[in-house]
Amino acid sequence: MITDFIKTEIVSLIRMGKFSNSYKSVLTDVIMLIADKKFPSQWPELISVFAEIFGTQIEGLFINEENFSFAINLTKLYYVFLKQNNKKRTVITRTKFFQYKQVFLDMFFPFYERVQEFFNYNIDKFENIKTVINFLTLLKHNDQILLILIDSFFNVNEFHKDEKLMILVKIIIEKTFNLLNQIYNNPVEDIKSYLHINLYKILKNLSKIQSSHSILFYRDLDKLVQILLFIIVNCSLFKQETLKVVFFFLAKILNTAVYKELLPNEFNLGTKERRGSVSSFGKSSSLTADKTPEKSKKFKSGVNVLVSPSKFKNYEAELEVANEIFANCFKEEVIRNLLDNLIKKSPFVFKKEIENLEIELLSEIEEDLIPSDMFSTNTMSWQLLYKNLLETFIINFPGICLKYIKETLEVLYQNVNNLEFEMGNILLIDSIIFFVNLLPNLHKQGVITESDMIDFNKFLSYIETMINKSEIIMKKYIVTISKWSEILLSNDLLFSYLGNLLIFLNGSKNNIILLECLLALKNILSIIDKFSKNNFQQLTLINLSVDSNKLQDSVRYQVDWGSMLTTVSNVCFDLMSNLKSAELLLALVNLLTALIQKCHYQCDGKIVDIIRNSKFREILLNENEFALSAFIEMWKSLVLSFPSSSVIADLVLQYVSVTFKKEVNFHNLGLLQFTVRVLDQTDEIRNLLFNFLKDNILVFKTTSKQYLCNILFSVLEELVLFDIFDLNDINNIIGLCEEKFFSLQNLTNDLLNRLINDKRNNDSSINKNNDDIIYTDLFDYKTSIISVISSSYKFFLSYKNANIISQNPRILKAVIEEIYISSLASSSFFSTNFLSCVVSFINRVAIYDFELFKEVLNGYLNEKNISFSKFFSIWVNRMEQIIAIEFR
Amino acid sequence: MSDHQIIIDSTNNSQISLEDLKVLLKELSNPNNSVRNKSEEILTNFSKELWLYKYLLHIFNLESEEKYFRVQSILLIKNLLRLEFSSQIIKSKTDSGKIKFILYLPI
Repeated sequence: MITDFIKTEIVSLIRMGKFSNSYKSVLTDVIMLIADKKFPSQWPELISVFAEIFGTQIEGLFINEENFSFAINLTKLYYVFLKQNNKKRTVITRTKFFQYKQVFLDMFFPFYERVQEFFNYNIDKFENIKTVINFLTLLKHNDQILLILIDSFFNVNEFHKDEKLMILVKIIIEKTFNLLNQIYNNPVEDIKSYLHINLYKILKNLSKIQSSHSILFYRDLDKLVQILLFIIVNCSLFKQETLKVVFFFLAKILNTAVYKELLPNEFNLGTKERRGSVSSFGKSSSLTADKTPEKSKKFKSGVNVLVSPSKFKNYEAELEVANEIFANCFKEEVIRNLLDNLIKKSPFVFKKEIENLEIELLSEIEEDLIPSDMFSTNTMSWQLLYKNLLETFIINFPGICLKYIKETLEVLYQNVNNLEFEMGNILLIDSIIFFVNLLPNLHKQGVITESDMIDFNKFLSYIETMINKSEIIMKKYIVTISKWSEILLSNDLLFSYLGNLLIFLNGSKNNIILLECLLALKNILSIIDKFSKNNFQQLTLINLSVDSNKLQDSVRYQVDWGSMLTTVSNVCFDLMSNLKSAELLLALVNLLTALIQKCHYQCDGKIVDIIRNSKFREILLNENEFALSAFIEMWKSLVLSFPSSSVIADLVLQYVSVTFKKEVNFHNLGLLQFTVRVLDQTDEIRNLLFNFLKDNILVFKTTSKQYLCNILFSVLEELVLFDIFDLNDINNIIGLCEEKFFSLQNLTNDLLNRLINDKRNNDSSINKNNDDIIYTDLFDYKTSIISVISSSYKFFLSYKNANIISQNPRILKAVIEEIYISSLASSSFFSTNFLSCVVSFINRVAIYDFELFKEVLNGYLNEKNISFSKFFSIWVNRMEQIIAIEFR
Repeated sequence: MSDHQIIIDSTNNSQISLEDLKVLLKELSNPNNSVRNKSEEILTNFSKELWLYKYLLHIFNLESEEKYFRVQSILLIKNLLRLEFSSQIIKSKTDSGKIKFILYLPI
């Protein structure tokens, strides 16, 4: 009833023109909220509002400014509705919406056409720029509405019955063509920028439709491709975001399997002759028979999206047309021209001021070194799309692309001496190298065969000769080594390049170069690791051959890991203190981890010195949270790989000591706990641990945060189990535990008293208590203290008559009391951990030293006036409870 | 509540005056938590009452009204509607009539 009321009120608000006031956005929220449940089926009044506005005379619209903006607002609202509806792609909502197909199209499409026509006819007659801009905004909304209508109403099963949507697609594509013309010819900047926005929106929406309903485009594919090609060739005329969409869209089209389903295999190789004409692939039987090998090939190369054959089995005729058009769109000269434009022009749209480029390039990465998000968003994303597009070209037309690359490189090689080194040329070389660097990865995937591959030695030595010309090339050289490292490795050449990287690391002062070197090194190390583990068969699958035994030998003897670690750790720690990007930081920490692992096999003891001599400590003191946790992960993985190594243990304990001095927190304590659990029990490690404890005993004594204490004491328990203490130490430890335990007792007694009273009043109120958090921590803390004592108890067996508990049975009495109290409060209050710890302590004492136990227990029972049978039943009850939980 | 004391028997859902409603709206942005919660609670109790929406839309429509009240009233409609739509889901899950809703008013 209320929604009905609001629905009517809103419609009348809209009719009164109130919709365009300043509270529009909140009002829109309200409308969308209702529409989400009720539109279109239960809100016919709103549909009629739209019908009205779409039915008005265009001439009348633009005379009155207010009317015009009202119309714009309403089209926007309509668009938002459709968008919201289109998002809900469940069967039910879509079927419901489908019933309105005809209504919506009939209502909207005439309006669309009239506005467009009116605009085209009058565009030169408008005197006021504002009117043009208003019109362009209206047109933008209209285009979006039309596209979203197509998207939501297209149904592949009704494809043959209904040509309408196809016609709409054609109209939109033609419109885009006109838009290109207008952008090309329109002299007014303001209008141009609106045209750009419209173009961008259309392309974006088109690409969305294309990826969900690719068959819809089958007849107009060539025009669409022409538009995209035009934009790439004339890239300097268009906005960056438009170009990004074009990169994405073109790659998407090239990857759409439907458009090349019927094309013979050889089409993929481009240069070779095609096997028979397209039309010979009519029948579906021959289709499926033919497709199997092709599919498996595609699958192996991991490239194209597979289309289920049944989905399009009724559309062979359309597929044929689409395939024919597709093949015609991408002829050799077209592709070569495109590649030329992509490599020689497109990147420069994104890096406009060529003279300032060197500075800009450097600052771009330096910004990553300092704060900014550039790394992940702006700069990267266009490069990713660009890279993706180029890769798609190589995958689809490897023959043509390789021929192009070889020719381009040949030109470069010939001009090595007489090229003038201005910025433009260097950037061109940079961009060519970028393209060539895509090859190794594709080679690995099997797209490019060994024989087709370029001569990488020549390529690398060419770059080497250019290094001195510019730091851009130098950076590219490092990246190139990293990209080609797998291929270099399979040709036994990698290790000499490793030396080059070290030279750069030692010599360069440029942070970007250093960073690139480190990243390249990290990549190389992970590749070496991968290959030394892999067996031969897996490698032949990916076009590479590496003898893993030989590789392991080389790793062991050819490289001086120690000196590499020295160099890297110096550079690394220096860089880390400036680095804010989490990804980069993690990469560097990984590199360090890998290097330490490598060194460990080769030159044990040196590592500690190397790390100790570097700026290690400085890093720890001013580093951000993320770096600390990255380091902790590094130590954890090192400890896990070398649990018996005293060197690693030493490093970790040093690290923990250093961080303890700054602050005791979850992270470093967690690392300590992990370490003491994982480490092997060797004499050296015992020594280290003992010394560590001696140095840090203050931490155990003074830390007051309960949630940290419980970890601290569980560390202490582990240390007790390491057998590193003599009787005296143990006495001290138990003394410490007792002291902590009784100070806690004061805190908990109060809580418990309240708890027991509460139980009598109202059971459920306990959980509402605000002390929740504190009491769980307290009991965890108590648990770990009792565990320490209980673990050290075993120790007394070897020292007859040295039982500290028998000298001072206070703690035993307190623990016995815990059992009794646990019966008074709600059972859910005490954690199982705590109870099992208490019970096992008591059981242990009872078994080892029954006389003592009897004495203390009797004393306690007499004092509190509790009968033994009552206590006994509670005790057994607790044991049963624990066993029951353990068995659950 | 501040200077204008409203006593509302929320169990019997008696209608409040427009002025009182405006006081309640005002209190929705009170920095004091308990006052804010109280007025939220009262308003939520009326979420099934048609007169409340009539009032709110009335305030929203008045050109002469302070901007604060106009925004506040449409925001309240939005939040109550959201509550209404989501409560249908929640209510089917719980048996007891006691469901505590929280109104979020982003100001």
